[in-house]
Amino acid sequence: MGDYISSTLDLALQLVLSGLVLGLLYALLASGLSLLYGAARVINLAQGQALMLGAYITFWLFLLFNLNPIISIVLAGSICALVGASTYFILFRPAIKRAESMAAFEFTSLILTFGLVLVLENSSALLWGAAPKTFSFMTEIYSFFGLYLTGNRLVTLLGSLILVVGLQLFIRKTRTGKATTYTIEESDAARIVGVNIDRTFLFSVMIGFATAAVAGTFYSMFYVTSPFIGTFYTLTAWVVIILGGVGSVVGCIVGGLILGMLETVGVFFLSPAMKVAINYTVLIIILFIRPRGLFTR
Amino acid sequence: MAGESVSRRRFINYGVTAVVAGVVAGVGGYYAGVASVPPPSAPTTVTVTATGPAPPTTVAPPPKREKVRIGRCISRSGALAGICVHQDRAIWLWEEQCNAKGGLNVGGQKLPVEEIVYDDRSSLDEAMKFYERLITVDKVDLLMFNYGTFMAAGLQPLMDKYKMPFVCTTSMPLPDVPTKYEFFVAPSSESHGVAMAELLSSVGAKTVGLLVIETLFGADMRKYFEAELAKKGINIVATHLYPMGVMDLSAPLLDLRAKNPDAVIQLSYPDDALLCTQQMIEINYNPKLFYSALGLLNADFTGKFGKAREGICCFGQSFVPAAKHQGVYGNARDWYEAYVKRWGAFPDYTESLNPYTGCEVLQQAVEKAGTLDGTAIRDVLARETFDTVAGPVKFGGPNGAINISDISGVGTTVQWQKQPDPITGDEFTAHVVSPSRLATAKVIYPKPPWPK
Amino acid sequence: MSSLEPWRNIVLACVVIAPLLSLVPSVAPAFVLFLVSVLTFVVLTQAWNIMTGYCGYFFLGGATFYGIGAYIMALSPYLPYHLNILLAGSISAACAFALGIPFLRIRGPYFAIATFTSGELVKNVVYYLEHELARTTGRYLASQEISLVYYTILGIAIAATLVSYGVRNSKFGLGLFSIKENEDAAESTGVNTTLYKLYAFSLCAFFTGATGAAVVARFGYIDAWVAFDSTYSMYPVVMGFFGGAGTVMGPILGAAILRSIFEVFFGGRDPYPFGIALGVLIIVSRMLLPLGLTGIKSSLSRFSKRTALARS
Repeated sequence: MGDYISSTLDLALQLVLSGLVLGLLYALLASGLSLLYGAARVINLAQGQALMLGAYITFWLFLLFNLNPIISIVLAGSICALVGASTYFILFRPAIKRAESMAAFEFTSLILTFGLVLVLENSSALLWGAAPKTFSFMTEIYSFFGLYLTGNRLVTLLGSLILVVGLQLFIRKTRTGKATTYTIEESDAARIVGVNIDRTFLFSVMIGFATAAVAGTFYSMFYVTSPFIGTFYTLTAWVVIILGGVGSVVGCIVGGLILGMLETVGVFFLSPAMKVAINYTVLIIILFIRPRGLFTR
Repeated sequence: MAGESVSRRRFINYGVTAVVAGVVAGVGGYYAGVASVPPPSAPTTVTVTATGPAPPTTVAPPPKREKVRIGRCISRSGALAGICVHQDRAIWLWEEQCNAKGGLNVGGQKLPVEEIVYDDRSSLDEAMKFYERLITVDKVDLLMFNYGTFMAAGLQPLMDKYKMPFVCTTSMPLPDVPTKYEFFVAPSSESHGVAMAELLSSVGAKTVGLLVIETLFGADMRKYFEAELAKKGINIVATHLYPMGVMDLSAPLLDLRAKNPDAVIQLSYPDDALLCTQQMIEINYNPKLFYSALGLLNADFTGKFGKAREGICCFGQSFVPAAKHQGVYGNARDWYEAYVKRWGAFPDYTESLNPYTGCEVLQQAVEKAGTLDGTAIRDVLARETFDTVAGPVKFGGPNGAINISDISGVGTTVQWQKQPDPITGDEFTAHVVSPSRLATAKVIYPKPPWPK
Repeated sequence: MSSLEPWRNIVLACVVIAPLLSLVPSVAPAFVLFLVSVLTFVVLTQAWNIMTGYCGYFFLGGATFYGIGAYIMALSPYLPYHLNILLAGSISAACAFALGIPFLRIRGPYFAIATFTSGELVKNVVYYLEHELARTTGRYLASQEISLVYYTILGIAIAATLVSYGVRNSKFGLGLFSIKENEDAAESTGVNTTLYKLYAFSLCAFFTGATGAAVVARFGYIDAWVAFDSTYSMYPVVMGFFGGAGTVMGPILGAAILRSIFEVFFGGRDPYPFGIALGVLIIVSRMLLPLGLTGIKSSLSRFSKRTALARS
C-alpha cells in the first residue's frame, strides 16, 4: 500500500469524505427529531440520550454475544422504538389530553424530555459505570480513487443514507407516513375531533427514538461510548433541523451535510478542541438570524 | 367565603414555611449532633499499694489510635478512568506491603493503614469537594493524590489552607506555585523538553509537528517543549490542540502528513496516545520519529500494538527494573516482580511508578517525623532525602516542592527497540535514549515502517 | 396566581430564619459547608425564577453567568472580596443586557436551547483560549474563610429573595407576567417588552454572576469546566419548577429541599441515583403538580373539581 494522499486535492477530497460520513449520521439523528417535532410537536431534548442508548445496546450485544453490530441496528432500533412507545403512553399522551393547546403541550414536552435526559444519563451511568467503553469493528481500510475509509465509516455512510432516504420514501408514499405531515397543521382541530392522531403520534415518537438509536449503533462502531455523550448530539441535531427546516427529511440531509462539512473543515483548520465550539456557534448564529427556526408556524 | 379561603391559604403558606424550617432545622440538628459529639472521656485509674500512703490517682492516656486513615480520590469514571487503574494498583500494592509488615511506624507504634477513597469522576470540581470532605468531615490522617496536573493545581489552595501535606505523584511539577504543602515527585516538563530537544538535534531533525492535549499537562509540556526546541533551532511546523477524551485525530494527522515534519510529538494522556497510534497506522503515516507522552509503557499499549511498537518513543524516567535503586520494601527489581506477581501485568513505568514512590516518600516522612501532625510531616518532606525504587528523592527548587534529584527527578525519552528484555521476557525493550548521561541505548532514527 | 402572597411569609423567612442561620458558624460549624451549598442554589433558583417564572422565558443559562462571575473574581486580584462580587454581578448584568438583545428575540423552546448552548460554548472557548494564550488551564484566586463565604452567600440569598418579592409586587413584575401570558398582547397594551425582558435578564444574570464570584472563593482555584459547570443551569430548573415557578417562596422551597436531600444522602457518593430522582421528580411534578409545591392548594382544588365534574 503506497502513499495514499499526495496532493492538496486529495486532502480536500478526503476531508469531504469525512464530512459526508459525519453529515449523514447527523442527518439520520436529526430526521428522527424532525419527525418528533414536526408530527407530534414533541421537543425531544433527549434525542442524544436515545443515541447513547443505541450505542450501549450495540456495545453490550457485541461484548456479550459477539453480535455483529449491523444486526444490532435492527435490535437497537426496536428496543428504542419500544422505549419511545412507553414514553408516549406514560408521558406524552396524558400530557396532550391535559394541555390547553398544542403550544402548551410543546412546552410541557420540553420539561418532560428534560427529565428524561436526567433519568437516561444517570441510569446508564449507574448501571454500566461512567468509564468509557469501546469496541473494535470493521477497522479494515478500504481505498478507492486514492481516498481511504475504514469499513465502519463506510457502513455508516451507506447505512445512514439508505435509512434517511427510506424514511423520506416512507413519509411520501405510505398512508401513515403522509399522515405525519398533516398532523402538524391540524393537530389542534384534529385533537378535538379525535382523529386517529393517536396512532400517527405514536408512530412518529417510535420512529423518532428508533432513528436515534440506529444512529447510536453507527456511532458506537468508531467512537467511544459513555453515559454523557448525549447533550452534544442533541444540540447538533437541533442545529441540523433548524438549518434544514423542521418536518423535512430532505432538509435534514441538507442541514446535516452542511454541518458535517463545517465541522470537519473547521476542525482541520483550527483543532479538534474546537469541534464543540464550531457546532454551537453555528447553532447560536442561526437562532439569531431565524429566531423562530426556519419553519414558521 | 372569601375570608375563609384567604385564611386557609395563609394557613397552608405558614405550614409550608414551617416545613421548610423544620427540614432545615432537622438536617441542621443532624449535622450539629455529628459535630458536637464529645471525645470519649478518659477513664481514671486509681492504684492503691498495700502499705504506705495512697499514691496520687493517675489518669490513663487518651484512647489509643488504632490505625492510620488515608484519604484519597481517584478517577473511577470519566476520561481518566482507564489510566487510574495503574495508580490504584500501585497504591494498593504499597498498602498491602505496609500492612504485611505491621503498618506505618508512627512515633514507635506500628499502625496499619486503611484508606477512604472517593471517585472524583475525572472532575476537578468533584475532587475539590471530596478532598475538603476528607479533611473536614471524615477527618483522615493523611492524604494521597489523585491523577492529573490540573488536579494538583486546583487542590493546592485547599492543602495550604488546611495544612495537609500532599505528595503529588501523577502530575507535572508546578515550580511557579507558591505552595508549602504540596510536593511533586515526578520529573519536570522542562527536563522532558530538554531530553527531547537534545535527542532531536543529535539526529539532525529540523522540523516538528505537535499534537497537544488540552489539559494543564498539555499546556505545561507545550510551554517547555516550545522553549527547548527553539533553543536548538528546531522549527514547529504545526500545532493541533485536542480535548481530553477526543475520539478522532484523523484531521490533525492528515494535516501533519501533508506537512511532513521530521518528528511528530504528541503531548498526550494514555487514551489518546493509543488512539493516535492506531489512526496513524490506519492512514499509513510513518513519521521519522513519533513520540507520544504518556501511556506507552504499560501492558495496555504493548498488548494492543505488539510489534508495531518498534521505534516509538515516549516520556519516561530513568527507571529500569534493574537492581540498583533501593526503596522501602526492596529494590527496583523486587518492586517490578512484586507488582507482576500481584496484578498479573507489568507496571506502568510512570503511572504505576510515581504513585508507588509517592507512597514510599510519605511513609518515610511520617516515620521520620514520628507523628501524624501535618506541619511536622511537611517539614520533614522539605528537608530530607528519601530512598525509593525510582532512586533517591529530594525536594527543592524555586518553591521547595520540586524533585531535584538528578536521578529520579530527570525526565527522559524512552524508545521501544527490538531487543529481548532479560527482565520482562518481552521481545522488545524500552530503552532510555536521551539524555545521553542516562541513556541505555542509542536511538533508532528514522523509525522503522509499520508492520503489515 | 396573580394575587399577592402574604408578606408575613417573606418577612418570616428573612427576619426570623435568617438570623438563626447567621448563628450557625458559631453554634454548628459542621453545618456551614452544607448551608453554603444550599444557599448557592437558593440564589440561582431565585434568579432563574425571575426569567422563567415571572417573564416566561425558559432560561437554561445559569452556567454562563455563574462562570462569568467566577472568572471576574479570578481576574480581579486587587479589589477586596465583596467589591469583586459586586463587580462580578454588574459585569454579568451588563453582558446579559448586551447579549439579551439578540437572545431575547428567540422564542419558546429555542430560547432554552440557545441559553444552554451559550454556556457550553463559552466553556469550551474560554478553556481553549486559556490554553492557547496563557499556556494554562486554570486560575488561582484569593481563597476566603468558609464562614465568610457563608455569610456572604446568606446575604446574597436574602437580597435575591427581597428583590424577587419586590419585583413580583411592582409594576415591573406585572409587566413581566403579562409578557409571560401573551407577549404580543402585552406589547400592544403599551408594555415595553424589549426593555422589560432585558431588565429581567440582567437581574437574573446579576445574581447568578455574584453567586459565582462569591462561591469560587471557597476553593481558591477555577478552570473553565469548574466555572461553567452545567449543573448551575440544570438544577435550578428542577428546583424552580418543583418548588413553584413564578412565586417568591417556590425557589426557596425547591432549592432547600432538593439540595438538602442531595447533601444528606448523596454527599459522599455518586450523584447518579440523585440525578435519576431529579429526572423522575420533574416529570412527576410536571404531570401532577404543574404549579409546584406552592401551588399544591390550587392543584388539589383543580383535581377535586375535575373528579367532581367527572362524577356528576
